[in-house]
Amino acid sequence: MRYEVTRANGSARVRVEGALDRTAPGRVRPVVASLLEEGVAEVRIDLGGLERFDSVALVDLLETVRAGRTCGVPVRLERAPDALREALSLVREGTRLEAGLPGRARSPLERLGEVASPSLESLRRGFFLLVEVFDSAILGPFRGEKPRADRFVREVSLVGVNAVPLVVLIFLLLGVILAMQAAAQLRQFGATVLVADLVAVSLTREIGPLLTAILVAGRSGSSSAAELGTMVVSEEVDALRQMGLHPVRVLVVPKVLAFSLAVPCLALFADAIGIVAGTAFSALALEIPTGRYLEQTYQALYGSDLTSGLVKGACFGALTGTIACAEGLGVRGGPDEVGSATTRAVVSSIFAIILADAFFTTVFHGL
Amino acid sequence: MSPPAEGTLLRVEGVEIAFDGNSVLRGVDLEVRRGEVLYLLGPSGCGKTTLMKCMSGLLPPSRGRVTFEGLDLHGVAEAERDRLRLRMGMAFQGGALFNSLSVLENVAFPLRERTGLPEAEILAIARLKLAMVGLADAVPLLPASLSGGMRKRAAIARALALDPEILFLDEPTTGLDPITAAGIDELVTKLNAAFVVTVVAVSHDMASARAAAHRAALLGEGRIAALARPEELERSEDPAIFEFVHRRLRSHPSEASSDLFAGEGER
Repeated sequence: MRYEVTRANGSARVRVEGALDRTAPGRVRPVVASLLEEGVAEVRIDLGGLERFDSVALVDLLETVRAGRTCGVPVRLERAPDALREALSLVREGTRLEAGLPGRARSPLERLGEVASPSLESLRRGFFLLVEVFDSAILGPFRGEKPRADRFVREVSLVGVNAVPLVVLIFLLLGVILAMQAAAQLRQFGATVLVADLVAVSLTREIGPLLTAILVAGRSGSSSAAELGTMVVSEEVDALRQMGLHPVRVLVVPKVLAFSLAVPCLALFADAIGIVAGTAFSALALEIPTGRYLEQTYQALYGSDLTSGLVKGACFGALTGTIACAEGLGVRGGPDEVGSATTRAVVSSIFAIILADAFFTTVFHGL
Repeated sequence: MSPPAEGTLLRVEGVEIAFDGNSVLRGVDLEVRRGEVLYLLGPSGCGKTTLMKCMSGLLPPSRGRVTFEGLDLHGVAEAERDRLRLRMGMAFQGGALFNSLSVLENVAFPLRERTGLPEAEILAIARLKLAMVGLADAVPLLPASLSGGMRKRAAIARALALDPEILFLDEPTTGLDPITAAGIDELVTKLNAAFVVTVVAVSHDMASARAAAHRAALLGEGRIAALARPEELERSEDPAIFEFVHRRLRSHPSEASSDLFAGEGER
């Protein structure tokens, strides 16, 4: 862009020539800005010599006119090409083109709050949903609500039965790993046979329910959150509401019940697989006869070990199911929100599982 | 936005396209003149969108070629095609707006990626484009919260971001109420004048074509069945054209069925 300024009687005339577009350097606004600083009474921009222009020119000219207006100096466009005139006429008077003022800088404490408040919000949502689920699952049948047996069966098979191969594979390996670790320590005391005790107790009381719950959170918690989130986005949840159905009763209760049943069952099954793996490893590598190993296992385990594992499993399952559903139903906005809700569901579930485990351990052993 | 030059901007020569052996286009010849608004009309599934995607360089033809200012769009190297694409804009049927970005960011996206303009200027241009399509107030919204008409307008604003010479519109008025649709038609006419942009629109809306198009091409059986000014199409007596334009079958259905059962009365 080339320009030429002529002054007469306190008013200035800027003649613009050549190209005013994104490939050419030079804009009208700085030229006029310096004229405004000089204190001219009027600016006229002659566009008769404009050969090429694009949206850059539109923005430039609109901002120039606005700059004049804020100084109280009239800025007029002359001999503008027809297309430019048409394009400018499409922009409503007073449209703001520059962005608003940047936001105030935030303190580190405020930023920490911004990170923490969604997690707290997620826990709060999960808690209220859990109350609703209990109300519906336990008191619902007394109010004559129809139990959703078919959905429950479908969910149990999705969450529990389909996870069996994965659980088998993981706990076969885990049983061997535990036995190896235990043997390495116990051999120093000549008490290799106690491998059976260690494997059995650590699996049933702790690792079985904990790891199963984490597996289920990753496998089914994520998919439940995504499923419900997608239903929200595609207005299916609204459709249910419109039919007079309660989404929590229809969708969430069967899921949470299925999680609460599937996790302890899977955990019990996982314990058995782990013990089998430990037995096999001890027979082959540690030369502990199978009969001796199983007898040792039988003596090591108390009924309370199994029940505490089952109680924990049921509780972990309920937590995972509830958090996943709360995150799924909490989706607002578009499909990309489903992805982040899924991530939040898994992360929050695992966090909640660990918290609950700490609580249980304190209750069972600390008191 | 250079001053309009006369002549052909884009030429389709004997284009054939087949999907899995089903031929959709069977030899299409078409010429898009610089500065015109051309509507591609036809019933659903006749290959309008396929033809337009071929014209915009997205879909290579099985046979034939598309030239943009004499350059074979599908024959040139990838880098050259990308340069040519800078001069074309496309508003997709569903908008194809990036759902994770605000409306403003959607329009700013091509500017940010394909030009070296400073950030402030990019945002100002994006705001300008949105103001031009009547979405000045929708700037901070996410696409999910837009209505159907707003989504189409936002898609047009994004397609216009790089000041293209040719603007492709896929079904700009489909799914909109008549008033909103008329608003889009008016916008197309205004943008055509303001940006000196050539517009190729795919539609099955004859009313839209009448309001906005200089010329309309009717697609049928994989070929251009008719190419004329919209009002000429409306006057046509050709059965295929008549059926499409006037939304009814030329032979009345009851006549057809009385033919079918003609023998029964005599028995």
